[in-house]
Amino acid sequence: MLPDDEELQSVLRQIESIAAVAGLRGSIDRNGGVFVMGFATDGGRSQQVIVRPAGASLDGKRVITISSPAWPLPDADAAALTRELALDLLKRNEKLTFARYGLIAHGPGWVVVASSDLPVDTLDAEEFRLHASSVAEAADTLERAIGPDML
Amino acid sequence: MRLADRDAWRFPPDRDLAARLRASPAVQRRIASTVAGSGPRTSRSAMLASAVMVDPAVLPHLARAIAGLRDQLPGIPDLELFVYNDADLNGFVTPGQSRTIVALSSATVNHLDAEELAYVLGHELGHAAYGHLDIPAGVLAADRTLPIGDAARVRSWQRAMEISADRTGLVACGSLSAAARALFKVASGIVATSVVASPQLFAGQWQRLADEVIAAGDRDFHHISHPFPPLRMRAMLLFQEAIDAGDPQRLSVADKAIAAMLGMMEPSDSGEPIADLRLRAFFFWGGLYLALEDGAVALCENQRLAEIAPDGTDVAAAVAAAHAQPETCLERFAEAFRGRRRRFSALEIHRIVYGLLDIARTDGRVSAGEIARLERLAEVMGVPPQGCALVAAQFAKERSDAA
Repeated sequence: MLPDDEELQSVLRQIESIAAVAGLRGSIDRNGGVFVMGFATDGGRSQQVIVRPAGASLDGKRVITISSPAWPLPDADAAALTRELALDLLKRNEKLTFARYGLIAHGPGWVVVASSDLPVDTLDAEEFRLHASSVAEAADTLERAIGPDML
Repeated sequence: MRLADRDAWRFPPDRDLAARLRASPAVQRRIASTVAGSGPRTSRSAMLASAVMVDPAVLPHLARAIAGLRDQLPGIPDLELFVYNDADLNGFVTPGQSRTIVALSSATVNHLDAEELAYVLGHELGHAAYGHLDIPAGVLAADRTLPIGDAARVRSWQRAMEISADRTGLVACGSLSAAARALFKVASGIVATSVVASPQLFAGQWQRLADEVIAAGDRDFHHISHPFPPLRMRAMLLFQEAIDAGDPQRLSVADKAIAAMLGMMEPSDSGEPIADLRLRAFFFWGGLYLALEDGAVALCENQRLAEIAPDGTDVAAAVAAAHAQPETCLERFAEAFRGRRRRFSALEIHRIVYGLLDIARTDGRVSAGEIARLERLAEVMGVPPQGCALVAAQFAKERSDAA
């Protein structure tokens, strides 16, 4: 279940606090309900990393999702995502650590993102850094495979 | 003290959290669906079917006890008292459709004396008198679809309401010793008539529990509906001392101390960092290290440090020793960090840094020298200098927004 507004703001502050302790600069986008950071990746590239509240786990713990956009699919039917490419993404998922590829709705179309979920209350700074950089790296790897540094 | 004056000494967080829950749309919806369901209507029939209703002809001493309390607490819908067969010491109160039902286990009736029973009955009736039955806390706590913030507030409220109910129990029986015996018997299961439960000794167990919780770094108590029994005893002791002193300010101080103790059962980032008893050693030694940055501890800083010092700390001696060797503060801070058995979460570390900034600002400003010392303290916890700067920027912004 997704958080109500007070809960949303509370978790966004928690994310900002954890990022600060991890030495990661970012900012809260209150309208979008997310915390946004920038990550430098190999070869002078960069990747936007978004952290958002993701409700509760089965045992009632607060969860956050760290994600980074990798490949925009502007068409409503995601036509560019062929069966071959979709299978390739699933195979890549098995080899990734602390990240996975998925598909989220974006405007009229979709975006392939790399993402990871974490419980926020017990998270330590090193875990947060590791998951955030793994997500950024996974998104950037896919982006490089597809084309220039678009996102 | 009279039960009729109970609103004057109701535990403030009980009242405040109940108000917040009543104002929550999600909670209102669930209350409406619970009332529409079968709960209140079946409570009385279940009791009539399986338990014994207390009647002057059947259990005269209990009937007298409940009648006496009913007279002191007008306004509670028709009271009925039942005794059910159970070997555990327990009791509960529940709303019927037009009655209030109080039930005691047979073990409770068999093993508690008149004063102890008065405490238990007073406690249960306290729940009814304070309107605790109007919000079905047990149902809400079990509801996984309730927003997390509301779910946490329900648990916090459950614990706070026990403090209020303990007070009515204490006033009802009129004896701290009787309340201690009753609580001890329920907590331990030991029902021998030779039980002598000293309120002070029982309450003293709280400090040992607190020290253990701090050392272990346990943070998994927020799902528990009742405060730890030693905490409840300590809370009753503080309440009795405040009432005996006849000073409303003393009760306010006691309530603040009790709220801080209950804070040890809250999630790691709940409430103001400085009020977190679990982190006092860090705030004291780290705060002293920061205060000595300019070579002297100002009066306002000294007062602040005295307020947050861990129990048993000789503040004057610690300040004097630290004047001579300020680096010992850093060593004590590091000892406290390494001494914790469970690793610190990022949110806990943030609370420590944020709280230290609050202490540094006691004299109205955070100097560059204090920031440099804060970075050394943060380094002990694995926080890089840029992390310290980010938390300081967050602190400055939030203080500015709040002003």
